[in-house]
Amino acid sequence: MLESVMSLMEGFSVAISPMNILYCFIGCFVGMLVGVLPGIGPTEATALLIPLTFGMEPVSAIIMLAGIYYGGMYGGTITSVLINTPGEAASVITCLDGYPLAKQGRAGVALKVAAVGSFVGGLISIIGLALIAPPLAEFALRFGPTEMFALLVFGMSMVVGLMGKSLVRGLVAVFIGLLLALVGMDPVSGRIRYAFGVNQLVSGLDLVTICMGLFGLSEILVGMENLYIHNKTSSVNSSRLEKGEMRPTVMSIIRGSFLGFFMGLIPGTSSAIPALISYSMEKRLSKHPEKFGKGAVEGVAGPETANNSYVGGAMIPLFTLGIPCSPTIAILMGAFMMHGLTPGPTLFIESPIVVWGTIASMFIGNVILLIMNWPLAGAWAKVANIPNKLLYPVVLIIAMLGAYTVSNSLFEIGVMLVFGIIGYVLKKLEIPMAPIVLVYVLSEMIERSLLQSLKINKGFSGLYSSPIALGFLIAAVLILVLSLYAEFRNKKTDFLNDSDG
Amino acid sequence: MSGFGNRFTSWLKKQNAGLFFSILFILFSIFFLIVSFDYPYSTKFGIGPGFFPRWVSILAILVGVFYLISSVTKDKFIFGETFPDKQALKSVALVVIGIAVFILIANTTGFVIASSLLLFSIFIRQYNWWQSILLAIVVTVICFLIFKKGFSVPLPVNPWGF
Repeated sequence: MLESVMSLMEGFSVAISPMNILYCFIGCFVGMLVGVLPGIGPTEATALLIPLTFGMEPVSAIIMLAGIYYGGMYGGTITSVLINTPGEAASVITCLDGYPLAKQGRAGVALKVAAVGSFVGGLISIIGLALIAPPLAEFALRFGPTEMFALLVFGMSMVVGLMGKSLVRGLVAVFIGLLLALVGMDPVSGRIRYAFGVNQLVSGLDLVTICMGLFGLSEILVGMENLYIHNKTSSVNSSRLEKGEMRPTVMSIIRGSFLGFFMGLIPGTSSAIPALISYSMEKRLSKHPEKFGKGAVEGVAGPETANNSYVGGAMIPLFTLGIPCSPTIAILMGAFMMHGLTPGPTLFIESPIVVWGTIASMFIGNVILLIMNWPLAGAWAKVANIPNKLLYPVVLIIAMLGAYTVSNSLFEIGVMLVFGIIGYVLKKLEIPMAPIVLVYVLSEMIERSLLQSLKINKGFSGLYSSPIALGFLIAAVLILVLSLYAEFRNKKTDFLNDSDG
Repeated sequence: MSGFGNRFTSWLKKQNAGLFFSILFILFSIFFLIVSFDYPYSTKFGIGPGFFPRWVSILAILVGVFYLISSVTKDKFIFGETFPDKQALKSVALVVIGIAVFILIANTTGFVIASSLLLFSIFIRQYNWWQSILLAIVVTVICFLIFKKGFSVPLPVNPWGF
C-alpha cells in the first residue's frame, strides 16, 4: 500500500515534466477529437499514432497513446448528447437520455454531468489500478509457462464468450487471428513460416496495419455507402441541475465508478458493456424509472462514469498479466513491445518508470479532459458538424499515410486495403473483429508457453497437474458452455459488440 | 450489362453470404494446413516449428465446418439483405479501386498527384468539379506538409519533389 503510494509519487515526478504533460495533452486532444468524429475511434487513432512515437521515449509514447484511449471516452459523449450520434461504441447508451435532455434545451446539464462523472470514474479507477495492480503482478510472477498458457486460453474464451452474438463466429475470428499470426518468424525456433519468399512478410504482418484495415478502413468503406448524411447539432445552454436531481446523480456516479472498474478487469468486455449495465441498474434503482429515455440525468451520469472507470480497470490485465482486454489495449500492448517493453508481471520490476509514469499521467490527463469538456463542450460539438462527405475522404488519406509510415512502403497500404475489405465483409456477416486482433497480439505468447509447457512436462500432464492452470481451463470451458447456452436461449444482446473501446 | 448480368445479380442476391465465407475460410485453413507440412513437426531438440501451425489449422478447419453448418441452418446472411444496394456497393468498390490505383502509381507520380487523384475521384460524386479539385489539392498538400515536413516521413515523390 505504502509502496504503491511511493511509486506513484515517483510516477508523478516523471509525468509532470513539461514534455510528458505536452504528450499527455496531445493524446487527450486526439482522443477527444476522434471521440467526437464518427467513423474513427480510439482504436484507429492509437494505431495511427504508433509509428510517430518511434523516436520518443517509451514512457512519453505510452502516456500519449493511453491519453487517446481515455480521451476518446470523453469525446464520444458530446456527439451522443448533441446530435444523437455516438462518436464511439461506449456512448451509444448516452444517446438514450442525453439527446432528449438536449432537445429540452438541457444539453449543458448532460454534458456537465457526463464530464464530472467521467472525471470521478476515471480517478477512482486509476486509484484502483495503483492499488490492485502491484500485488496481482506479484502473484502472476509465480506463473510458469503452463499456467500462462491456461490463462491465455481462459482470456481467449472470455473474449469469444462475451463478444458478438454467436460463439461460432467468435471462434472463426479467433482462428483468423491465429492463422494470420503464423506468418513470419517462429518465436521458438526462429524459422520463417508462411512468408512465401515475400520479403515484407518475413517479420510477419504488422499489427498496426491490420488494425487500421480492420477497424479504420472498413469503417470508412461503410461510410462511403452513404456520404450525403449530414448531422445537426443542438446548442448548449442551460447547465443547472434541478432540485432533486443532485442525489440520484451523485449516487449513479459512485455506482458507475465501481461497476466500470470491475468490468474492466474482465477480458473480453468492451467499454459499452459497463455503460449498458449501469443504465439498466440506474433505471431499476430509480424512483422515477418512467423518466428514463425522456431525459433522466442519472441515465447519462451512470453510464458515462462507468465507461470511463472501465479504462483504469482494463489497464490492469495488461500491466499485470500482459493480456489486452480490448482492441485499443491490444494496440497499446503492441506499442509497449515496439518500444522494447514486455507487458506482464515483470513490467513493474523492469520498467517501473513507465508503469507509474503512465498511471500518474492518467490523473493529469483526466484533469486536462475535465477542463476541455466542461467549458469547451460547445466548441467540440462544432467539430462534429463536419459533413461526412468531407470527413471520410480526409480520414481515408490520413489512414493511408498512417499505414505507410509503419515501414515507409506502399506495401503496407496494400495490406491495409486487403484487411479493409476483409473487415467490411466481416462487419456485414457480424463476425466480431476484436478477437482477431487480441489473438493476433497474444499468439506468439500462446505458442511459446504451450511449447515450453509441453517440453517441461513431457506432454500435456502439466495442464491438469497444476491447480492454477486447471482452474483457468475449467473456467474457460464453463464460459464457453454458458455462452453457448445463452446463445440458444437468445439471451445475448446486441450491445456486446466490439466496434470500439 | 445484358440479361445475363441481371440474372446473375438477382441470383447472387438470393445466395447465402455466410456459406460463401465459411467455404472461403475452410479453404484458407486447408491451405495453411498443407503449407504446415513444409515445417518439421518435431526436431531432435523437441517440438518443431510445424507443430503449432498443424494443430491451429486443423482446429480452424473444424471451426470452419461448424460455421458452415450454422450458416446454412441457423443464422442466414443472404447477400441481398446483408449488403447494401448496388449504388452503395458501387461507391465502396470505387474507393477500393481508387486506393489500389494509388498504390500502383504513387511511386511514379509522387504522393501529391496520386492522393489528389484519389480524393478527387471521391469528392466529385458529392461536390461540383471545381470544389472537388480545390478540396482534393488542399487536403493533399496539407497532409503532405504535415507528414513530409513535420514528421519527416519519406513519402514517395516524383522527380520534381512532390
